[in-house]
Amino acid sequence: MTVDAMAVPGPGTVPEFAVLGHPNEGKSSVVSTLTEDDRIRVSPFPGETTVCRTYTVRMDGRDIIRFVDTPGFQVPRQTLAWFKAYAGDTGHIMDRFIKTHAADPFFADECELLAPVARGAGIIYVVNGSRPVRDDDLAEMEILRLTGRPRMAIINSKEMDKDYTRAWRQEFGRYFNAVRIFNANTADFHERIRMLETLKSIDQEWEPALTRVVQAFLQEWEKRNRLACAYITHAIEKSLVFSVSRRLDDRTDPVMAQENLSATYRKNLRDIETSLFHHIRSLFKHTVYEVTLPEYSVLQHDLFAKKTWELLGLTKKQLAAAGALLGGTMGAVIDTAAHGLSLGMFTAMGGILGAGSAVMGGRRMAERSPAGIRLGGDRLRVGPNKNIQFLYVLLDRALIYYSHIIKRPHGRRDTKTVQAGQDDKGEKLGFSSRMTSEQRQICARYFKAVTNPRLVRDKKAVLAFAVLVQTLLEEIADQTDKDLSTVK
Amino acid sequence: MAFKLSDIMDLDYLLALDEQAETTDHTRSVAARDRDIFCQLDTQDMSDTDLIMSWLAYRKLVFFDQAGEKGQWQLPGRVFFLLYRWMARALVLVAGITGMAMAYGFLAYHGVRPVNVTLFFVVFVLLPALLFLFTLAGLGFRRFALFPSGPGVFFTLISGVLFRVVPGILKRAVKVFGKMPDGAEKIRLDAALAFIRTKKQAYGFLFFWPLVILMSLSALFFSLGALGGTLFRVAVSDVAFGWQSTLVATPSLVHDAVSLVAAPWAAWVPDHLSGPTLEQIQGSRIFLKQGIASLATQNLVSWWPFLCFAMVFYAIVPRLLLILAALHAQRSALEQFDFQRPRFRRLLVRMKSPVMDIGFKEQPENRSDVTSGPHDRQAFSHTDTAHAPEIQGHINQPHRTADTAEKHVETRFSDHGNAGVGATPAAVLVPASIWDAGDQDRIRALVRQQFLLDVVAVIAIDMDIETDADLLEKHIPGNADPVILLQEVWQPPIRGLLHYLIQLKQGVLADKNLWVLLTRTPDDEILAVAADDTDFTVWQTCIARLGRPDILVERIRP
Repeated sequence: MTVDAMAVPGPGTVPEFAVLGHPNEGKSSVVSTLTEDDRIRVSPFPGETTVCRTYTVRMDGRDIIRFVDTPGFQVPRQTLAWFKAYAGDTGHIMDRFIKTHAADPFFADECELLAPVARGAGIIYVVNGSRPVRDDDLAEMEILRLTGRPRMAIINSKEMDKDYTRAWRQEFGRYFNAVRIFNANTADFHERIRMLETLKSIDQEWEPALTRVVQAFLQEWEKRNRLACAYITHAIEKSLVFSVSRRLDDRTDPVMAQENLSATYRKNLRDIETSLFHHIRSLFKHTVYEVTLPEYSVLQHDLFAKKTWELLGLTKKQLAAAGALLGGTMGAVIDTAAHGLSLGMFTAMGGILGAGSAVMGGRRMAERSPAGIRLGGDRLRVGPNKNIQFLYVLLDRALIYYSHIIKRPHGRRDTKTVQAGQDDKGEKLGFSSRMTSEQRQICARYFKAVTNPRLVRDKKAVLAFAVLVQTLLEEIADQTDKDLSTVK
Repeated sequence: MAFKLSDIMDLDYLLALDEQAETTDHTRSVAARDRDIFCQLDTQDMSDTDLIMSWLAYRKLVFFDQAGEKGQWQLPGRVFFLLYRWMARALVLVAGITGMAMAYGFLAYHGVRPVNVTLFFVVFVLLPALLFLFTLAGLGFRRFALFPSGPGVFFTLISGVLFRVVPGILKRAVKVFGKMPDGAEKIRLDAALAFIRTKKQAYGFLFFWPLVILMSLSALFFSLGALGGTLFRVAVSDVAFGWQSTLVATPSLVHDAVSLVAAPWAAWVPDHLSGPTLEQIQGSRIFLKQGIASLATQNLVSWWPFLCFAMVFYAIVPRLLLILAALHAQRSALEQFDFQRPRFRRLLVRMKSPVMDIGFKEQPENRSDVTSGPHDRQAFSHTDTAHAPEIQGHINQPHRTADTAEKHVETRFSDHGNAGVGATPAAVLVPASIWDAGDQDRIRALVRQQFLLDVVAVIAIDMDIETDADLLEKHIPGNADPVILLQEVWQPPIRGLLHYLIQLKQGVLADKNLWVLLTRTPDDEILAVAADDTDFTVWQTCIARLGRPDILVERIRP
């Protein structure tokens, strides 16, 4: 599905809606959110949009719906006066208006915004529900009523502390076929779908086409979730099996080498995660504007920060159970400390392989002095991380980022976030701590399959984990913002 | 009281500083200060212009006293004056040296080929004369006018150089000589330059003549330099002049042309100095193949007086006259400057209006419950309401009829106790669909408190010029000025709204100042609008673009 701002609309074949309203009501934000196009210029200053711009949503190269972003009304009273005085065929009122005032700069904006309506577009009238109704608004609504086109009204609240929705609804009853509250700054996917469903009701002729549009959006959403799942599972697998190593010789300071190698290991894992986040962001079409994470989000902390490991992953009790699932043969260390990194990391660093040397297991390696075991041709290795908590931390971070991305409307331009209190009760904040035991079993089997490579890979475990991630993504997508308030 | 362009710029700047008053307390202190200045003046026989200039003089004294040496980089008038002076000096110097050097170099003669009179005449007489005529044409040719009050094509070019190129060059040049302020002072200098550029649009016609003078000065000193160089060359070295042409066959034609050119000075200058005679012209014609050996020296040297006089009369005197005319025009433009603009009127209102203040002084009079130590506050905790002031005057309660063509207007009569004697009367227009009768007192109190105006009429309008024009014609008191229109700040200044304002100004409010007073929604508890409010900024920009200095945008301040 693509959105093209330059497509030339064909009247009557594809549903087309002109988004009209007073200047600075949020029309461009509404279009941006509906079309998931954050390239649309949205500005707090009125008058940003001066010409009509048509945004076409395509599916497999075919146009399925168009939205036209229009300039705001500039002279509604004078326009209404002309409309009321018009004595000709009401079916051509707009054409006549545009033709009469084509050369008059006074009516330039009105001619521009009525042009798509004149060629058959439906009307979506956008108002700011956080300010009162005024005479100019009534004039605009009357103008739109006199056009005779199918029309709906959207109440878009730009400020949350004032609400004049009731007053608007009272006025809308006389002028519009349908009314909907649609906040372009908070609308998620489901809200957009509901909005499109409402559009069906303004004209029966468009019902089949809009039904197809809704289905197309739903298919697109499903596809994105599947891709997101693929990106996440791939990134987790890469992270779990990742390791770095370097050769040691007599001149190498093993302590420094250890530190450097650890730093390299961490950097590479961060890069894997960054790449994953970038893919998810692109998948959901946040292309121009960087999605700023909320200040309260645990993702503000580094992947290897102590805070991250305190807040995400499984609880100690859950970890212990997971360890039992894994069994003791694989040599993995269950790190029950709050900051499980160092032990897990150094455990993973056990692999100094020298000529004839055996592979060193976890604790034995950590207790040895590097100087005592250095042999000719030795290599120092960091990774892969045998701590299962690492899997849950990675998974939680990916899911949290996904939840932030899908909730971010494309029409939103500010970086302000609603402050949520930090949970300082020592509770886990990620999704994994709320998994069922069956789900944790799936994760454990997956972890085992990935970190212990065998000739015959446990494909079932990998597949089950992918299905689990897919399920989690769908659950997150279905949750409301309230439900997600505990997710940091 | 004479004043300069820099005074107007400083005035504007200092007023802008006052307008940044964020809080009501600050507004009050500004009003008190201005009233204090007024009280210290001997205002008998002082015109409004004199009052404003006196205010400015006082403010500058205080400003420099507080800012010290750094202050000179902050006042835009001072900056402009320095900029202008430096540029003038630089132009004079550069032009003079250039002219002198060019003339001196042009007159190089080594005994082989004389100086070509025609070329010299073209470069140092004809060209400056043509430039002068071109300047006159540019001054007079209204088609290129960008400002209603003055010619424009030069303005754009020259002001672009003065306000963009020159400051940049100046800063770099002065930096080399170590006199440039740095750090905060540099920021203030940049701010002052930006202020000048902004105000150039508002006061464009005042900037025009100084720029013409600058341009003419450089042309004048170029010609003076050329004349000086010529005289110096003639005095200290042997110079020969000759003329040559493939086309002109007769010296008599040249003589006629020379006589025509010399007409301005021929009558009162000795003949041998007014210009070469016919014989001398004949004797100074150059044929290259023949060389100059056969030509008489007295013929070859006869041209220089003519050329010098030509420079004086065609290059120097016109420029001098133009400079004098520009100075006169500049003075006239300044004298015609309208100090009745809303911004200055507000200052006058503040100066002339008494400031009411309630002071409190605790002065116990032998009370038996007063302790000898620190005051016992509990003894004064009760509030004595027995002597609360009574509201003076009679206030009509407004009511609206169903007939929108006839609106009841509330007018206040003889409200002596509140606004103060001598307070400027104002009328307030309120959109009927937004403000209720119950908001009237609130509006009055705000306008009085913040602008020290006496609201003599509150008129409910429809924001439709057809219905409002008659209403306003009938009900705005003649002495009410300004007329204040209440406008919700969040409503964008759409074209229809701005058109309404223009129609008001062109019609019923033609001779009054119109203030657009921005507020919040009447339902809001607080009507104040912050200075950094985005909507307020948008309104300021849109009103400024109207280019109507008699339409002012203001806000209810916290």
